Amino acid sequence: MRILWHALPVLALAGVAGVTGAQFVLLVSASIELYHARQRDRHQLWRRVLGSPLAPRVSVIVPAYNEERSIVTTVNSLLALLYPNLELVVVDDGSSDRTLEVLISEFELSPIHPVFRKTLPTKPVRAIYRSGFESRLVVVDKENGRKADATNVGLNVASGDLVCTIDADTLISPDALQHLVAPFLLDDRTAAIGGTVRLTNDSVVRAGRIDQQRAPRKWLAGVQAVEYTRAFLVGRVGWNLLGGNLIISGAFGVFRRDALLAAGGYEHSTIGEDMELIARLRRRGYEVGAPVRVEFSPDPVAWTEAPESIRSLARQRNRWYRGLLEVLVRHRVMLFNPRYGSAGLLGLPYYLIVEALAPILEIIGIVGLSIGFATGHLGVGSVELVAFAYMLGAVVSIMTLMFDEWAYHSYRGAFDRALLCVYAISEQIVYRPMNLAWRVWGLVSKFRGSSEWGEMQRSGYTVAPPEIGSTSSVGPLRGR
Amino acid sequence: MNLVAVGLVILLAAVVGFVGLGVLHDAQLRRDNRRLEVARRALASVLFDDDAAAAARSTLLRTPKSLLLRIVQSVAVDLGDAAYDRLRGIVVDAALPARIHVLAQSRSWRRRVQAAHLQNLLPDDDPWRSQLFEDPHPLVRARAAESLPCDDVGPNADLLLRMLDDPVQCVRVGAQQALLRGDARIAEPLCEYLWGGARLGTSLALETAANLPDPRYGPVLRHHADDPDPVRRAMVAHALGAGTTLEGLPALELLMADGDADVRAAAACAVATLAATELVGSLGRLLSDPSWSVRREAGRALDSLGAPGAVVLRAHLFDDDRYARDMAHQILDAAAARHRQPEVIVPDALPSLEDFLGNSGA
Repeated sequence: MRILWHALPVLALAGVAGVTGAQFVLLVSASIELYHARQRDRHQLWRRVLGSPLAPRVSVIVPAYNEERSIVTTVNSLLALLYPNLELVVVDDGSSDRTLEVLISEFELSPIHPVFRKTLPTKPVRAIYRSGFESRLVVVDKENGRKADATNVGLNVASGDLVCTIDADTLISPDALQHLVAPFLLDDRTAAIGGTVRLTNDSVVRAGRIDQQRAPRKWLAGVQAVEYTRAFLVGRVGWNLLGGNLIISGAFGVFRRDALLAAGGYEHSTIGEDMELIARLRRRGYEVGAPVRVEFSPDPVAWTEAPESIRSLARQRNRWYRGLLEVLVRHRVMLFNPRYGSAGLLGLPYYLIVEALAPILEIIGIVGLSIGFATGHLGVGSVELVAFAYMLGAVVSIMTLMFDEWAYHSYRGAFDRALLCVYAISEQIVYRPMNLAWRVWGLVSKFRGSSEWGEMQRSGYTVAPPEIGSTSSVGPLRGR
Repeated sequence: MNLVAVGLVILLAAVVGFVGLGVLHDAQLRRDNRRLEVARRALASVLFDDDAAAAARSTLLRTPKSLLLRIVQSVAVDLGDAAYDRLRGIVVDAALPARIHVLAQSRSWRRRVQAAHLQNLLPDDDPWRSQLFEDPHPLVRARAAESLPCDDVGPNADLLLRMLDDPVQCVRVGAQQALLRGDARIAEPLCEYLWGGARLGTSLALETAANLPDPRYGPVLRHHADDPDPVRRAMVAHALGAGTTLEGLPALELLMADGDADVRAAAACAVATLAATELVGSLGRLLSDPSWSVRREAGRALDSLGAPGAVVLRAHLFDDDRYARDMAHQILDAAAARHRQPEVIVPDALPSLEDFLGNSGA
């Protein structure tokens, strides 16, 4: 019994230290990548090559479901991209709100007879529309079939060699595609590039672009801002050097279209379709003897809105965790298998141990530790040890913010930065246990066979009116 | 000291480090932006305003060299003869060649990339003007090619054409971008390159020809029309379409019957570009093609040919082949949608060059 009580702090520490230790290793790897990216950015590589009409054609696919509040901002933002050879395919996934009507009236859409090459099987397409004044815009109206199905329809309709998938509520920077298309020119094995996503909450949006990035004023969005920065800079960019990237966020990624079609497009029957697709792309590459490269661009090129209610966030995290478990089960053959290179030996084991198992160990350890401390079975030393590990977790987050500051100077002013530090510390104390609980809930839901998707309430962007020929600042307006 | 105290000290140091770094960064950016703004305006005056050039020149020479390098780097390489010569004069007067030499000899390829962009600003007799074209790192070679000014493309055409055969794609694309700025000056060497047979860069060379219409490409394009590689045949079709004469029509007609769908689609596109109404019949037949992309391009081509094409499209609305009917229907639908023009709002005044340079971050 006594051994059991002493095992509890070890269990908690293993959970916390496992996550924090892995983050430290990835932080070092990410810092090297960031240095390279900063050099590339400084020398403005590719500005001319990818400003030419001969640049590879990119079809941007935007699956939209009940996005009437943000769809026009998103489409305008995408049409304003600096990329010269662009096609925009918006797929309305049978929205029950006025998404399609808003698009029709705003972009003067007219129906075009729906004939296209149906390479991937999808739900029926009801109509295809073209804009009366914007030839690059194609809108597809289809029956509801989840995001994966909508993206597959987009893949069928798209005409570009490269396809970019984004969420309808994502805003992307004007030169985002230049950043993401460049690696395809450097290495023919590149099959997918992910873009770093940041949060728009309380940032100022002007003419569909982020005008000023600010630290969110609401705590829940604030801790997510820190979490996103850490997750993308450390959890994704850090994997570039190690070659274990297995997630391209559905919010923004560029893929070679032929590779996606050969792999069978997005999987309908999983809720973690983003990760599943990359795992399948990499697995297939190794199996056919042509391993593909999957990379992550550290440049902050996309912005999305984080849930500001605990209910929405809990459902989102529950879904992500179930998605992770599904991918791990589905591609278990890759785990620790040298045939699958760095994906099998590093990437997937990391997701199994650090993302799937460590939180469970951590929650068992923390609950036991609390009981042991309350009943006097454990001393202060055990609690101090675990508290120290949590502090190191906060240090990793703040170091990530520091790297972000050094490379991108995302935030302005001491107040925003101090606020982010508060979020980074409170994340460890309050948000982390909440996140653990949602994961356990996800695990339980998975065992109960739930495939619920969950909806998110959006509050819309903070927008400011467009401005021409002046640099004076206009105060932000709330809502739209 | 217990572990919690150690943890707190580390945490506090991280917080102070982050906030302090940010505040310093803010101050540095504010200072640099002020200096850059002044230097940008001075450079604009030196390049384009004869009256204010002398005063602006002294302002520019007082700017720290690192900032001056940044500004010079951001100026377009195809600036124009007189302005480009003035820019080179500034570079020499500010003693930047020595800095560029240091960058060019650096062991870090990232510094050499910077030098590759700036090497063209060195004096004509400087030995470093062309050395980075042969750099071992592909990004340096690509940048050297990409940064070549228009006037230097002609004399370096052979070198750029050799770079079209580089094993790394980004170098090939960089060289192609430079060639595209060469206009008619590269026609002869490009023809010579294309007559030399199929190579790695032939597709890019054909694409370049397709984007620089010149009657001199006609014979060599027709020579490549029966190339065994369908990608090249498709490029030939594009290039024939971009041609200035109708001599390529027989070759295009043959390409419209090619075994590869992409070639047929490209040929249909080319007919549209040439506005060759002689081939409306062949385009009409392509509306029944087994490939959707060929049918779509044929439909678009017919649409772009105006009245003769519209007649063919309407006739195909009653075609026995349902695919041809379908495509004709789609194209006529799209045309109907397109003809609704939005209202165009013209601004009262365009911003001045200085405002534009300031606002665009150039």
